[in-house]
Amino acid sequence: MKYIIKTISIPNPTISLPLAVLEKLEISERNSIIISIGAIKETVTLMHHDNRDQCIYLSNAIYKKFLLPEFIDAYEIKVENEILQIGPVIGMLIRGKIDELTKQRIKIYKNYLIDYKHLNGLILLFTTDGIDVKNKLIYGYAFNPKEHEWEEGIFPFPSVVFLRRPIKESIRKKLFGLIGNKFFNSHVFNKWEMWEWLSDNEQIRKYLPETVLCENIENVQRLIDAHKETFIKPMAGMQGAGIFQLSKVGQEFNLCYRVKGKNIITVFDTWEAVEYYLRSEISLKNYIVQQRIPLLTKENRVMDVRVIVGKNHNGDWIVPGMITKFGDKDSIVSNISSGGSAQKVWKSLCETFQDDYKKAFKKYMEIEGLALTCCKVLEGRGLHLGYIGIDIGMDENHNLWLIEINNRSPDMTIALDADDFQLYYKIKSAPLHYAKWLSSFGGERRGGL
Amino acid sequence: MVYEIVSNKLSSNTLSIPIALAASLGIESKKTITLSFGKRRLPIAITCLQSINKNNILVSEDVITKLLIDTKVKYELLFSNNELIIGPVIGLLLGKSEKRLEKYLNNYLIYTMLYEQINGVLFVFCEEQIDFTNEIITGYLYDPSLPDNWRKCEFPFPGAIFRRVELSQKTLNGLKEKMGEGFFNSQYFDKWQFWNWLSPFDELKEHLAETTNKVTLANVEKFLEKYNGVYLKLKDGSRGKGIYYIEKVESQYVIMKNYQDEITELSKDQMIKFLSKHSIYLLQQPIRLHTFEDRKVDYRVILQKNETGHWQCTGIIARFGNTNAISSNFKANGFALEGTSALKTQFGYDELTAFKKYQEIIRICTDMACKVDEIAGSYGDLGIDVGIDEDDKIWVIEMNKRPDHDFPLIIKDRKMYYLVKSNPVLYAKYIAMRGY
Repeated sequence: MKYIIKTISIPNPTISLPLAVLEKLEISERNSIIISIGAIKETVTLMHHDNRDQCIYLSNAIYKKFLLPEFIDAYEIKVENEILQIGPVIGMLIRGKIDELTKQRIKIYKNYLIDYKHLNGLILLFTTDGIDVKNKLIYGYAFNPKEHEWEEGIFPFPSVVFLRRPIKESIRKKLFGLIGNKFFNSHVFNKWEMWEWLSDNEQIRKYLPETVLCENIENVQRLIDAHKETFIKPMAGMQGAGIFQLSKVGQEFNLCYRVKGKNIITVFDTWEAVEYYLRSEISLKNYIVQQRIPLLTKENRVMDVRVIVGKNHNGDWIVPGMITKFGDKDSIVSNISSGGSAQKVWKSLCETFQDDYKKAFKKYMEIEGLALTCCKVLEGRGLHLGYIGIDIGMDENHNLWLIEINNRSPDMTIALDADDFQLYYKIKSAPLHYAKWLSSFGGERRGGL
Repeated sequence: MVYEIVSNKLSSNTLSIPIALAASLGIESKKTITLSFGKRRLPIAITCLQSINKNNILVSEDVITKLLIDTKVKYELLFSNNELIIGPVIGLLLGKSEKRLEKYLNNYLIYTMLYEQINGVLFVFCEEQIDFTNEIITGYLYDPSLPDNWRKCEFPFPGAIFRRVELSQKTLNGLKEKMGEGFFNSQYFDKWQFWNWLSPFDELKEHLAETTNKVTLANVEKFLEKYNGVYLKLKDGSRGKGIYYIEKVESQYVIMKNYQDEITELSKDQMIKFLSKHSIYLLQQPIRLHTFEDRKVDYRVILQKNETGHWQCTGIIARFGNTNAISSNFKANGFALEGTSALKTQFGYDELTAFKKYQEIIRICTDMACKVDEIAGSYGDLGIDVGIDEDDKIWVIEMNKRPDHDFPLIIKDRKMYYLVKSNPVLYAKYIAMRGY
């Protein structure tokens, strides 16, 4: 049920709800109650009214305290731990400073609200300098569903926050103090951390290419001797930038990298020459070396799968969709941004398995399962994630390999590259549905019916 | 991880597990715990061993016999509240008789496609194979190591049963009592119960055709007054069988039967007589479906639970009926489209509008499914017929409890077809392995 909030002129802090609603919430016997909107709580007198309309009346002073904008007319309510919650109040913490935000600049964040009909409540946009910890409020913008526009103002601090930017430890502490762990997608981890965490898990280990730190040059030499072909990757790199391919051919070493869409190959006669080159060209401590997996190719284009994984309105990890990416012809990496194209995974799996649909289906579900297991393992490490992109490749024997996890605001326009608008809308609307669940208003069996 | 159960003839009433596994499950050595296999439970003593294979569990032979544990398949483990579950044990109630079950065993392989993610005991059975007295079910176990896949065995009552066949009331009650929530899609209900259960909730009622089981002239008049027409329907008829559409022209009642052109005109007295012959029918508000080039369109929403334990939409398929029928029952000259394409085709929606409508359909269906779960028991696989009227409003026409799984095939979507078959098994595993 959706409720509208109105004010009444009563001097005491008061809330009044329809009697039938109080009975359904099992609080009709009470005289007073704590109400919470976002992170703000107040103790008020509890009254009831007999109007049939779905209306919550707040006394003027209380209404002002909660700083609710007048343009929202769809709130949901529920009672949890003796507290009457009105919401949801969801925040998105974005880059920049409050002074720099213009309606033009924040227009893009409306894309997260395409399914507002099933969200309701107050959706806020703010920057780190707009947080007022003491008064539990934010200076920022609120979504006005009637005008489909962001409105500037002061609002209650939200009860959950979706992070659209990495944050410093000081901000993390502030958020934790205000809302506990109800903020997500704040963690940034590098490729080495990812490898270390995931390789601990027996189910995932077999999907991971062997990886070592570049700093330990003996390990690099051992890896190249064992596998002949390796990738040298920056730990913090994204989208295939800064990757070298190092291979051993006979007694020679070939180092291949990409500059402006061209592959450049340098040949070294000895390992010492390679080592000298690497030490002088790159900062070894920022790199990892990885066994090169001979991924399937199509017309000389490397192929891998971007799995989009997110939490849904029930708080479950799900895969809304996957996209096959193809690299540039003869490129060592498969990234759309380096000139690839995307295609729906089902279609490309059917091609790979030559229309053996049952095999294609099993592989499809194996990819999904691997991605979901990764998320659960990362979560077990204490990371609170809402959605991420996972790259999974397949070798010539159709074994799967975990290539990369993108947790720094993974690019969702990849769905548009594959011409899949429905998938794009699905993944755009998902984080706030999860946020709603996190604020305890979403999910199945909602008491409001 | 999966584990093999190895029979231990030297001890009784004990279970031994590798020490590292015990630690990761949180089990202490030399304690008494409850061991569960399907619905059978037994208190046993547990010991931790250093020297056994890390994927082996040693179970004393008497325990294997008492619990009817099959030692040839591999299992997963779950430990919570001092109970160790070896499983999953899943039963699919598919055949009408043992003879038919045997005959169709190959067809049932489709339910085992994701066995590698399921593990444990997955078996098919029929009503006559249930022995309530000894609490044993005979059935066919899926064993991937066998060339012909199936092995006839005896099982305990499983952790979860998915029903997809007619049952006698006696068996139904027996299984419900024995299985509780672990028996899903157990209870079938008719159109009247559906209305009766959901109409008290305003948010749901809004999307339901008004229905009454009092087939009287007064009610016919009331519906005609309100809706300019009324359906007379069988309570549990399907596929357009047993449907009359009634209108009033001046003082005559005009009746059309089963979407055919056969039209009867009745006077008031004849009408009273006609209604008395159809007293076990229902009267229902007609929904004026939005048509596409004179074709009625209805949307089949495949709503299923999966390994998350929650409802999700596996897909929507729209059927565009033949041009003359009074409902959209899909006939030879109709055609079908995937839900989003259908919304775009039928209403001219752009991508975003189609997305929003699609989400709204799913949300309404899910809310109703959750309510039915609450009132009538547990479900995991529903086929919901949805109509969209001339004002673009969404109506839920019917909920099918033993839904046709072949819908995705009419739009040639094999992935969706395999998912439709796999989801109930994934959900069954969720139930069987969730612990208490």
